[in-house]
Amino acid sequence: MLRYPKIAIIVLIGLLAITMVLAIAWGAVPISLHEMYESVLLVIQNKSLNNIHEAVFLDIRLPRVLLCAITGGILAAAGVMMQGLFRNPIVEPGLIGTSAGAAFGASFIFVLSGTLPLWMQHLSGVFLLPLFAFIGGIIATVLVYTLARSAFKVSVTNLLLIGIAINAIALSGTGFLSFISRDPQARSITFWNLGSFSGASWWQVIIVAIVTVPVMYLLQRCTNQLNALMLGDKEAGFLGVQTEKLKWQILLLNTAMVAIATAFVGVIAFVGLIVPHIMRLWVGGNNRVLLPTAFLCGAILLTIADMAARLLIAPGEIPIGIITSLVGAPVFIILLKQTQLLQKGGSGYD
Amino acid sequence: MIEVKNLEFSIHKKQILQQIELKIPKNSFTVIMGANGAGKSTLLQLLAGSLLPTAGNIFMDSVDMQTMNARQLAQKRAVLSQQYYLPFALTVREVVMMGRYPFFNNHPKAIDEDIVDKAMQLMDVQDLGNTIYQHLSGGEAQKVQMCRVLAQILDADEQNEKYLLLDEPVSQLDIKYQYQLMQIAKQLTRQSVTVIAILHDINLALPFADTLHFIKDGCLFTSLYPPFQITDSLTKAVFGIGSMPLPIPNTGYPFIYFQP
Repeated sequence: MLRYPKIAIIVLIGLLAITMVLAIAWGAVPISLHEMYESVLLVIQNKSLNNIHEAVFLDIRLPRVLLCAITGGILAAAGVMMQGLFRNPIVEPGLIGTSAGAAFGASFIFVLSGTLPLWMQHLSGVFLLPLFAFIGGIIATVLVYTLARSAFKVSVTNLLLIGIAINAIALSGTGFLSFISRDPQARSITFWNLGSFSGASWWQVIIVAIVTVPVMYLLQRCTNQLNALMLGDKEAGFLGVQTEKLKWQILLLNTAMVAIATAFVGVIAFVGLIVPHIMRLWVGGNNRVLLPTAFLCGAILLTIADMAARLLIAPGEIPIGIITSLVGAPVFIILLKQTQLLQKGGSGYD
Repeated sequence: MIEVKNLEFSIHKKQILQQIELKIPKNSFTVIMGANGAGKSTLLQLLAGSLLPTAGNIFMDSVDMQTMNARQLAQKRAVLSQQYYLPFALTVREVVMMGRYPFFNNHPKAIDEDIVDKAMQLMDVQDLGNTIYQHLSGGEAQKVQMCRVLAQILDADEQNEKYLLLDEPVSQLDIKYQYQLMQIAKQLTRQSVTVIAILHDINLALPFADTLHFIKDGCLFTSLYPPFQITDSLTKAVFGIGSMPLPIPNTGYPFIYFQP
């Protein structure tokens, strides 16, 4: 559909850069471009910072905006992969249990580690938190996938219904853990259920980035096979795709990056649904182009959403999940209606 | 050349195919016929390698197909099915390029682009390259799928035999396109491609086929070669309907008139 996909990528990178600078600049403490430039220079020269603005920029705003952009990209990319896998545009990590399962796994270790000595708490944050988020995410996703699967076929209706059930279990588990927790941050159920970037830190950015880069590289290598899967499982097999292997590979990689982001920022729904939809309208359905452009678009939109979360009722903050759900749920309903129309037209999938 | 040796297939303890012995010579046009549920589609799936035999072996150019992986198979044979539904918008060219996926890893090479061009010219859809597949009519869409399948096997030569498997490819298409597709398949048999097709219309099969295999109740009932002696008792046994062959002058085959 798009003759020059490279231009789309360049335009999106430009937009992302502008959005990120704006997101850094605007806030309770405004930060000028000059201050950004100066503090980066000071860090490189290993000198101490001049003022509070530069400290806000380096320790709070910059890691927050980076974590937000990467998370947005992860959720959108995961949406593309899941939708390709299930051959349906209404699937995303929030709906099929990945996010809720990861949040449960993360809250489990979060609450438990509150009883540990301080140095162990830090260690568990670095290693156990992402690990448990991944385990929670993969268990929930595989449960949804296997339960929805009947007679060699995954029915999307089943998938969404079972997704609701597994989400409910995971969320009530998270709610219970938050309830019994002594840690004030973990006690905030809204943090897990509605997502927030208010706790962003550099080490979170680093861990998420370390996971995201190789995972996105591997996913990008699957995109041709994912295109072939559009023809159907059997037909993709005729084109040399080992479909079962591909499915597990994508499920694992997807869950890894979604779970780790979710461990730090909570459940942010609907990004994985809206962004691939928007990008398909622009660049078409070819996953080779769709995956990287959706990543960038997700990064842009979530950064904007986080800006809105911080600025709309400043100095207060709205959980970001409220904003994404408010925008995403109507899109979901529209997509669902479209899909039903297609089904009535005898499109041959359920 | 494909050799099928004592092939059996059963699923859920139900025997679908038994004791199938077949030799499909290279560069031939082989047609498999039979009533619904006779097992012909299962046989084609086994020949395509998407099902594995319960017993027996299939040798493709003397290699046991069970030892070939999905990609090796995809480089040897292409399969055209009846109907495709694509959930997301792709251009026609992107769909045809899928036929080259078994041959490159990330980016198509110059030869892949050339073969895609050639396939689209063969099916006369070269002007549709940038059209969205979902906007095509049913006939155009099926042509594009044929292009995709052609792209997979068009580089066959004497050192590199390829196979084209057609699973009732014409059942929903208009007459002109049915014959066009058969003609292209026939042409391919002169370019180191062996064609194996499941067809329902015996009168469509007769002008093109080199061999007719009739499947009945999971067994190979009989095989016919030109001049095809299709008798009333044969069609009664295989299809459950009587027939009368009417000779067509100056051709080597009859027209089969069915009479219940």
